Amino acid sequence: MSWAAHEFENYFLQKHVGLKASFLAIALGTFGPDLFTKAFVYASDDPAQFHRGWPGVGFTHSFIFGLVGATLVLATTRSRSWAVGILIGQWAHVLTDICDSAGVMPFFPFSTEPVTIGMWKHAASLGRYGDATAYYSSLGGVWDLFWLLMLAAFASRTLRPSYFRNVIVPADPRAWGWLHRRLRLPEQGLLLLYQGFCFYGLGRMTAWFLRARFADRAPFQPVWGGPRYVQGNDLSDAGPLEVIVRTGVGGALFVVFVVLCWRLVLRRLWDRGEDPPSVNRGRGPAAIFH
Amino acid sequence: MSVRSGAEDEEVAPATAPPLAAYVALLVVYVALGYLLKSVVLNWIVGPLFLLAVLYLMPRLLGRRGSGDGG
Repeated sequence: MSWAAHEFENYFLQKHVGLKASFLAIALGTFGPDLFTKAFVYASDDPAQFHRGWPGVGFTHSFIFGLVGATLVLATTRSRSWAVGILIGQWAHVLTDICDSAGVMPFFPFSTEPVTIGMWKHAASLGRYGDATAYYSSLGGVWDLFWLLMLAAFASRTLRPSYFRNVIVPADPRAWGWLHRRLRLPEQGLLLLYQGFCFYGLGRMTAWFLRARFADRAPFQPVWGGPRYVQGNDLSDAGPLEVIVRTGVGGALFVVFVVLCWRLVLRRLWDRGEDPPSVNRGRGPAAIFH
Repeated sequence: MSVRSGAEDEEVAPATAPPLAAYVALLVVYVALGYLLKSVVLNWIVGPLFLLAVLYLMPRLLGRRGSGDGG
């Protein structure tokens, strides 16, 4: 699993969608896969299988989970910017978690084959704190740093007050307006709430890394498949070719499923959906990216 | 900023971000608290709300209490 990378990605995604997706929805989408399951993962007898496998709650780390979530949001709120935000936030989480040894089932239920590049070990079997220590002793911590640097290099302007005013709020005026009225927060308070996700990512990355080095004295092993002191926990013994074939078939079936859903249900929901006044949404990829 | 809320528009004071030093100081505090208290502060609820709580809500509460004591 990834830790602070999920917070930094939000701003990077936001930069590429601009007015066309709600930042709050992107944040909720990235939290989505672990929101209700993470506490149970650490209490499970087989955390990796429970977290990412099937049977288990691994379906939360699949593209269809984000699609269902976005569809429900679109059907109930009619907000396109929220539906798009939930979808891309959840999908970004799925793609990011391909990096650890447990992997994800992106095309569940059409393929239950975990897809992983094994960059670092999924270490939930060590408990919450052991998991954090292992993550920040491996390439996982480097992955977080990479996303922080990406944010700093290419998307730092998304953290400025002017960007918040000109893009973040106009992309989702209903939610920010609701927070403004209900919590009686002026723009500065809302800005701090918006910047808070980045602050949290940076803070927890630093704190867990320092704990791993000085409190737990775990060896820092930023090598592929590290840290070595954690036992391997791959969920599948399939070879690379098997994984490619099963995932390819699952992916093709998923695409057919999405096209069918679009023609039967989603297009109707999308057409009756609403955009904030400042959003000029095009067709195709231009409906999401600016 | 115009925070649009349905049919109504409401003009509010323009946002000014706190100085960079405030963010840095707060980050040091948050990391120290996280190091000592772990998931008590390093969680999905406290973490994202920490900036708002310390840089906005706390000064307002303290200011209100201060003005109440003075009055």
